[in-house]
Amino acid sequence: MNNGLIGLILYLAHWLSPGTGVSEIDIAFLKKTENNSSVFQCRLESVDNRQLEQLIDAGIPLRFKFTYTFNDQDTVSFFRTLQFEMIDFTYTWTDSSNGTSTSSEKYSLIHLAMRDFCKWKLTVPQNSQTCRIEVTILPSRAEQLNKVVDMSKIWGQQKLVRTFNPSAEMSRRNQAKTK
Amino acid sequence: MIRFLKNIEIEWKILVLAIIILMAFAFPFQAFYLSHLQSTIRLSTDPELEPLLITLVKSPDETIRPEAAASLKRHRQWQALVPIFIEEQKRSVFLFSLTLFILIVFAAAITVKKLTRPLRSLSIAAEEIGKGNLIAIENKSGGSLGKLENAMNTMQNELAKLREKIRIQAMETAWRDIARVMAHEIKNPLTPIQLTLDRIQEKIDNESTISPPDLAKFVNRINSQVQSLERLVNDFRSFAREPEPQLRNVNLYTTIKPVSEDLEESIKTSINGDATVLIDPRLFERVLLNLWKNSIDADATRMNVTIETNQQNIVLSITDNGSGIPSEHLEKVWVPYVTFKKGGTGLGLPVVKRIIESMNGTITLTSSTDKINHFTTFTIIFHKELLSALKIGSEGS
Repeated sequence: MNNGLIGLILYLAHWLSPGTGVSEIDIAFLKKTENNSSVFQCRLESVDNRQLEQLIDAGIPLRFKFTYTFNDQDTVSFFRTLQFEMIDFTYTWTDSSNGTSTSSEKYSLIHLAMRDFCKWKLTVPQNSQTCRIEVTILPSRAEQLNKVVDMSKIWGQQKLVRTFNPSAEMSRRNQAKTK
Repeated sequence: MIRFLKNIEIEWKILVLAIIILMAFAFPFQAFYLSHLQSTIRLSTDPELEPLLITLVKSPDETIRPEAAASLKRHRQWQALVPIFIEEQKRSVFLFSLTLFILIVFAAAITVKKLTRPLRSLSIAAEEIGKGNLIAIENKSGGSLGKLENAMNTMQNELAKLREKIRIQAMETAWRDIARVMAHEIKNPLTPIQLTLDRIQEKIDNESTISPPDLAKFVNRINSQVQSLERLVNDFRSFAREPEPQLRNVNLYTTIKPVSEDLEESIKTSINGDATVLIDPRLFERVLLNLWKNSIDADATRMNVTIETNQQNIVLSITDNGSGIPSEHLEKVWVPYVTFKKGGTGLGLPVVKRIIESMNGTITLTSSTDKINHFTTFTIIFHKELLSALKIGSEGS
C-alpha cells in the first residue's frame, strides 16, 4: 500500500515536473566509517524519460557503468542493470563487479525501481583529495528482435561526469547542519 | 538584382532551376513517405494484443506462461522500438536524399557544362571573328550545335575572303586617290609653267629677244610654281616617312612664340601659360606651322594659345576664329588625302597627328560657334607620367 502511494506520487511528480532533460549527479555526505573512509550518498537526477521507461517495460535492460577515480590514480568500477521480469511484472536491478553480483528487491512500479536504481553509496578512501565519478550508459540488446539499442540516444547523453573534493563536500555538509 | 540574374551564365541558371525542381519534389515526397510509414506501422499492431498477452502471462497455466511472456516481450519491444525505427528511417531517407541530391547536382553540373561548352567556345570564337582574328572551330558536336559550328566556319571563311577583298579594294581606292590628288596637284603648277614657257616662246618668235624685266618676271613665275611642286613633293615625303623624334625638354612658350611672330602679319597670336615638355622641337615647329597655316587658310585673324598643367597632363589648346569646321568633318580631317579646302593635299593634319603621336601625345579637334564667330580648337595632350618615364629612359640610356 505504502509502495503504491509512493509510486503514484512519484508518477504524478514526474508527470507534472517541467523536466530539464539534463541529468546530473547529486552527492551528499552520509558518514565516516571506522577506518576513516567517507561514505557519500550519490544520486542520478532527472533520469526520468518516458521512452526509456517504455524500453524497460519491454524487457530491454537499462545498463549503467559507474567508475570512480580517486586522486586521479585509483579506479573502481561496477555495472548496474535494471531489468523488467515479464513473468511476474516486477523490476529488479543488479550490481556486478569483479565477477560478483548483488540483486535488489523486486519492485512492482517502475518509478520506485528507478528511484532506487539511481541511488548508490560511494565510499571514499581516507586521504582522497579528489574523486571523479563517471556514469556511462551502455547499449542494450532487444533479445526478441535481435537488435542492439543505443540507449545514449534515448537518454540524451553518453556519460555524466562529476569531480569533487570529499573533504570540501563534508565540511559543506557540516556547515549546513550547523546552520 | 535583375541585372545580376540576367548576367548569370546559362549553365548556372539551368543548374539552379534543376535544384529548385528537385527540392520542390524530393522533400515533400520524403515527408509523405515518412508519414505514410508511421501510419502503416501503427496499423500493423493490434491494440487488443497486449491486454490479451498480459492475461495469458498472469494465467495459472504454467505451460503457456513462458511463451506468453516471450510474446508479450516481443510485442512490447516492437512497440518500444517503433519510434527508434522511424527515427532511423528518417535519417536513412534524409541521407539517401542528400546523397541523391548531391549526385544529381553533380551529374547535372557535368552534363550542363558539357552541353554548354561548345556554345561557350562558339561565343568566344564569334568575339574573336568580330575582332578580325581567324579562329579554328572544331566540329566536335553533333546535331544542331554541329550545324552551327559548320555555319560559323563557313561564315568565318567568307568573312576572311570579304575582308581581303575589301583590303585590296581599299588599297586600290587609296592609290587611285593618291594618283588623282598628285595628278591634280602637279597639274596646277604645270599649267602656269606651260603658259609661261609658251609666252617666252611667243616673245622669241615675235621679237627675237626678251627684255631683262620680262625674263625676270617669267623666271620668277616658273620659280614660284617649281617651289609649289617642291612643297608638294615634300608633303608627300613627310607623310610617307616615319617621324623619328629626337626628344628633349623644351619650353613650350619659347617654341611657340617665334612661329607665331613669323606669321604675325597674317594672324595675331596670344599665348597664355607655360610648361616644359619632352618633345622634338624641330618636329613640333612643323606641327605649329601646319596648324597656323591651316588657320590662315580658314581666314582666321586671331589665334589664342593656352598652356595648362594639371595632375596628369600638360594640355596645349590652340583656338582660332576662322571659318570653323562642320561637325561631320571633324573626324575626317585626320584621314590622309581627305581635304575640304581648295588646293589642299589632305596630308597636313594627318602628318601633324603622326608627329604628335610619335612624341607620345594626342591631338583632338573640336569646333564651336557663338552668335557671331566660329572657333576651331586643336587640343594637344602630353601625359606627365609617360613623359617622366620617357625622361628616365632617355637619361638612363
